[in-house]
Amino acid sequence: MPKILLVEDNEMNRDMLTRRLQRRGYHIVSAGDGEQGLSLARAEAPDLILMDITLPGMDGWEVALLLKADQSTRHIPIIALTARVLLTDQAKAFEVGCDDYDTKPIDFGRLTEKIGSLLVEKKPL
Amino acid sequence: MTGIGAGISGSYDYRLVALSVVIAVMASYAALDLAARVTAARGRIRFAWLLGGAAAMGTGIWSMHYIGMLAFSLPIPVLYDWPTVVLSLLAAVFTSAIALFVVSRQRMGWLAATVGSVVMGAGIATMHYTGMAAMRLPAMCHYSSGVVALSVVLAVVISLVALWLTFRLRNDVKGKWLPKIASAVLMGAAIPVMHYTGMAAAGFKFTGEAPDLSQAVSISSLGITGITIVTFTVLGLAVLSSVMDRRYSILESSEERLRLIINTALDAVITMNAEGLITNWNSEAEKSFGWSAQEVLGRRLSEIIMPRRYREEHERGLLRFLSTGEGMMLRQRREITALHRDGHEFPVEVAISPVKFGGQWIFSSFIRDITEQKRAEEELLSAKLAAEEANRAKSIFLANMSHELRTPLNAIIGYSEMLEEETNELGNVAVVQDLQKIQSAGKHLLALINDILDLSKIEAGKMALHVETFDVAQMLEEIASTVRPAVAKNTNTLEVNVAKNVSEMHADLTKVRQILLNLLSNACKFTDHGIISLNACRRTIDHRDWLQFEVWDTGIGITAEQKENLFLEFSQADASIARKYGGTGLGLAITNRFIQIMRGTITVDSQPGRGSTFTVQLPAEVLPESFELAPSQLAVALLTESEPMQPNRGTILVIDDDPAVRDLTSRFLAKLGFRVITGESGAEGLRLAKKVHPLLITLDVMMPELDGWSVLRELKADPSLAEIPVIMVTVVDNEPMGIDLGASNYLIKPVDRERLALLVEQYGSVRPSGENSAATPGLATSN
Repeated sequence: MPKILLVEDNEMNRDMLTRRLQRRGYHIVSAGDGEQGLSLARAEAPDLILMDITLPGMDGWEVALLLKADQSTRHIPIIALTARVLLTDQAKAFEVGCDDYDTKPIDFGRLTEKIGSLLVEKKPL
Repeated sequence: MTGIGAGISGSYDYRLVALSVVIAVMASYAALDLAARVTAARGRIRFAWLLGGAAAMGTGIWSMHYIGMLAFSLPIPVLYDWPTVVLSLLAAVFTSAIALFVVSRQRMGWLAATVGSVVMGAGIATMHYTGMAAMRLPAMCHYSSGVVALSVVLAVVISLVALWLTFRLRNDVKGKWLPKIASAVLMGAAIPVMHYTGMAAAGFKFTGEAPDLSQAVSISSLGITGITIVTFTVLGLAVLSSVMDRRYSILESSEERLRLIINTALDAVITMNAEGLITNWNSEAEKSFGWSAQEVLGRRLSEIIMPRRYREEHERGLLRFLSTGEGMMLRQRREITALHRDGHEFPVEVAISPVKFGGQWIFSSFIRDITEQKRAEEELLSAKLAAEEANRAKSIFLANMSHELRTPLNAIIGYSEMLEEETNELGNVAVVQDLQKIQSAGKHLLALINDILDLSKIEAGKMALHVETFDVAQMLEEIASTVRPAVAKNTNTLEVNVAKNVSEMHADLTKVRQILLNLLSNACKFTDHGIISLNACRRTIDHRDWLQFEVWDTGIGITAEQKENLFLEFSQADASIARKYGGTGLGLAITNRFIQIMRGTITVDSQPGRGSTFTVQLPAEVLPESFELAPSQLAVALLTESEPMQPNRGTILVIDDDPAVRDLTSRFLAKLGFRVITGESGAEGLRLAKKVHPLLITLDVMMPELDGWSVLRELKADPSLAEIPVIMVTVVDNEPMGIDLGASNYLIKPVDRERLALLVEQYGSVRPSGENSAATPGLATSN
């Protein structure tokens, strides 16, 4: 069962997404802020990370940068999720090393497709 | 010898008479010349000129008198009483002074002239008769009163003429020598006339009595020579000094004028010599730099007005100029930093011109303190920065607002989707439907938020174009695959026809894609079990490449009334449509604006119940600008149907390859009361024009084969058609070309209906019914 780390500060959205992904058979670990996300990513070694960008304190960009700079976590695919829909955000997501990008509100079908394909791609590791 | 009581007749020596006249002319000339000096002078100098002038002139008149007396010889010895002679000289000088005073005033009225001439005439007469009274001879002098009176009247009249002439001529500084000399001759001749008339009044009778000879002197030939020489000398000196004084004072006054101009200039005017030393420093320089002229004249300019760090460069520049004749700073305006006496630096604008003067270079600089100007510029700049900052803040606000709205929406849509799945598994159909409603409302809200964000970006004029070169066919393929699920939803079929020549285009890919996706998604929404077609081709019109995209469907179509508001925000064709088909009502407004930003056009042709065709034309090379859009440009001129108001006001020919434009323009013009015929190509348009000779032609430019420019050329080349006014109606923004070729007016699509109506009214009122009356076409004819 693939393990997904969900970093999301909004409690409702965290709960909703956790439950929906669990229904699709994923094991979900969730964090409410950047620091917690960072430590869980290191401790839990998830197969994929769903990263909200607008977080209190350390934001999603920073967390993604740190994870991608860290030898032990750089292989974990990250999908940036943001409710900010500016083109610059999308560009920035790839710049900091995220593997994919999607906007909120979540199009659940599209998101699970992206998760599935990233998990297949990264499997050899 | 003659006996006592016998009359004595005298005789004249005409050479001396001539000399007396010459002296009189000279004196008159001196008077004319001196009058100008007296006028120009002020205060004591004026008094000195008046006195000197009166002395010269008086001496002239006086010596004329005595030379005239000598010319008259009596056969008896004549001696003169010298105190009386001196008295007569004083009378002459006094008279001259009065005359000079009168003519040298700023104005001379008739009263002043009359009084002046009476005084002067009386003075001359007094001088003359006093001079006569000075005669000591063994005869009695008696006068004929009539002739005396005549001589006095002559003196007054001559004086009046002389004063008037002098007054008129006194300021003739240069040129016009002739009138001055002529009037001097006239006056010079007039004084002897008075003298010799006075002489004619005198008769001499021999008395035999010895006259009182106690103070008598004889005017010998030697004396006369002396008088003449002195007189000429005095007169010559007077004229000479007048001329010298004038030269000097002209020079002085022009220098004074220059000095005044420079000193009152609002710029600091500073001159520097080739050694770099200050040679001139005006009042404004004193104000600007805090140094008085006295303090700085002769000091190094660079040390006075330049901050230390620039001095070396300045000195080097000066040396370079002196050796090569080149200088960066010269003969142009520059902004530099200057140094005030108190040590503060301030911005100045400086213009330096080198002048070669007497073999030496001097440099004149005009320096303007631009502190205030700079401050204003800075204020402007900071206002601009503030505006940009405000705009940035607005962008951040928009982004944040978008975020804040999306986050709860994420929960709404997500939970309802999740619940729908769960409820579906439980088989509770009624609840599933309600959950779907929540979802659909949530998605509608999301679409609204997205569109508002786009629209507000456009409204702010900040919708920048990100132009790039891309393959059109590839883009269309991607669009087709994106839109396929939506096509399938209503069991529609999608046809894509891409011409081989589409090649690449240079435009904003995202926006082109969104335009086509919007049109396709509308087509999908309003078509059921039908066909949706996406066509693309490249067209060259007037040396410019355009890409034409066409989205047509077999859907519900649009009525003419609905077309009116089609491209306005929040105006779906019908309120019920929103309920039935969903959508925000912003899609076409955004589409239209994207097209405008790229300088393209969109037209729509539709038949209710049969389907719609949207045609988009975009330049193959879009310029990377962002545009401010005027609200009026928002609405496309789409025309409504209604009955003609005034039937048959003439025929208008509409030439356009776009059926929608032909249709709409026809209807609109028909509404105004015109008969309209249409040509769907350039060739057909020409044929119709020749056949019908319309009142007016509206002409599109971008048409296949024969384009609008060619049609216009042919129309204007045909004498029977050349007079028909042609209104260009086009997306091509090239008014000069249209006017050059002979178009009467130039309208850019989308057409401003009011403007078109105005033009048509203007031409239509000229010739109520123009049909088939080829002989009197066009504007020139009026009834």
